[in-house]
Amino acid sequence: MVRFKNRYLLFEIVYADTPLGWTSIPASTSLALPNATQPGEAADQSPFGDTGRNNYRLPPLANKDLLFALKDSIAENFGDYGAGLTQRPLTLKYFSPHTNVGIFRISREEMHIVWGALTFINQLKGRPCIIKVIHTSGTIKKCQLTTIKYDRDRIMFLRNQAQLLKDSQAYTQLGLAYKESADEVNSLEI
Amino acid sequence: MFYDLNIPVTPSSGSTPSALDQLETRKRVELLAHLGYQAVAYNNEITGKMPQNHVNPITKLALPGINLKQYSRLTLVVDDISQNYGLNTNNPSIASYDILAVNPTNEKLFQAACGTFEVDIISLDMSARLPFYLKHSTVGLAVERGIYFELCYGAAIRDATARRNLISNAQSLIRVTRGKNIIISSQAMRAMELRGPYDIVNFGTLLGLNQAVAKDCLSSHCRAVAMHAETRRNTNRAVMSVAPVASLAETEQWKLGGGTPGGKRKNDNKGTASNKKAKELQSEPVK
Repeated sequence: MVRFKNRYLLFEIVYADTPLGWTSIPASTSLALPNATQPGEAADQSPFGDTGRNNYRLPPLANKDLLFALKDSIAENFGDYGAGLTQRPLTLKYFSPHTNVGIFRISREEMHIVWGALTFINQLKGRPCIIKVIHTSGTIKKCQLTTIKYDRDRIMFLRNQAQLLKDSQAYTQLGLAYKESADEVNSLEI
Repeated sequence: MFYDLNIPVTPSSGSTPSALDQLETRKRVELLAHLGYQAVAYNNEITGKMPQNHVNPITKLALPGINLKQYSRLTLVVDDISQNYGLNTNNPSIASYDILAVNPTNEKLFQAACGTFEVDIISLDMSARLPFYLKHSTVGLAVERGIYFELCYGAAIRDATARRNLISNAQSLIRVTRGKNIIISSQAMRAMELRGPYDIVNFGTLLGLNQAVAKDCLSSHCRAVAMHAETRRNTNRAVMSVAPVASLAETEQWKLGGGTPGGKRKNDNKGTASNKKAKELQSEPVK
């Protein structure tokens, strides 16, 4: 008896206002945390309409929103046949609204279909975004390790930013967030 | 190393990009760097004949701390076979761009582009139905000459009809080229239409490319385009390039021969076999 094999996709959601790691950040860009908006920040005057910059006070994305967005995208791009093929093992194993990183479990044979559907998602709850796959693996363990490493880099970056901006509240919050997210990732069942 | 050889920067009005255009370009480029690309080409698109005294409006951004190669690219939309578009390096306005692409809009011009035009990329609008049928004999000419075909995914992210057309056109292109000489680039008007390189590789596999080939479409094939452009612009008959002596780095000064007076005397005194050989090597580039 051959066991059923899965793939785990580690993905990151990039919004228009996500601080981009090590790239040069314009001074007006604030932290991606929901409550850390700098007061008096100029509204985004993009000629292309709302780029999601002004939507800080939206509630954080729920797990089911993401899963439904993916299922809709599969149905739109691959039809009922694709939706049927990928339906069974498709679950969101983990998602952190702090770092916008999450793990999908998908079936191994239909990996390309699900990944393609993720690529074609261009907005989540009306907010334009990119979903970028960071890592794929056959076991969730490796995904966990990569997530923790990725989270750490990300949170360290945000913490350094907070330190530079002398925002001690955000600094401690981020420290807690890192610990929380690491615990959460570790507690995922393998 | 991943390339995105199509970031449109065509000025929305006038001849120079406005501040808003530049901000949008900056956003796209920073996002590209974040997604893992290491080279980008800014694309200016011109329809019809190049105007006289055309000035290249592309300015390369100063990006401290980001390792990103930047190229400028011109895409000429050609529609009239009887017109002379002056596509050669003697034309100063064309020589001011790093990479040259054409977008032929009818079959005659497509044949001419594949067979004779001195360009690096043939870029067809894949988000609409192609007005002609891609034939193996025509496309083969371009493949033989090292010209690459471009697939742009930006429009496909925007809307579903373009996605359908892109998939259908890409399939026919892949069929006639047998997966050779294809590059994939974004043509993203806004930052949110970009995608990560591995996401695009996966999309390539959905189109029917082999995974390794799909990766090459974003990396080594694009490098080949950049090299082809370099050869077309800066070499004499694609064999030899000439650079001024002043451009040599400190560590390469030895290529000039002679060396410092002290070093020369030392060589003369000893005159061993190895030194003679070294001297020969030194004098060679001077010829």
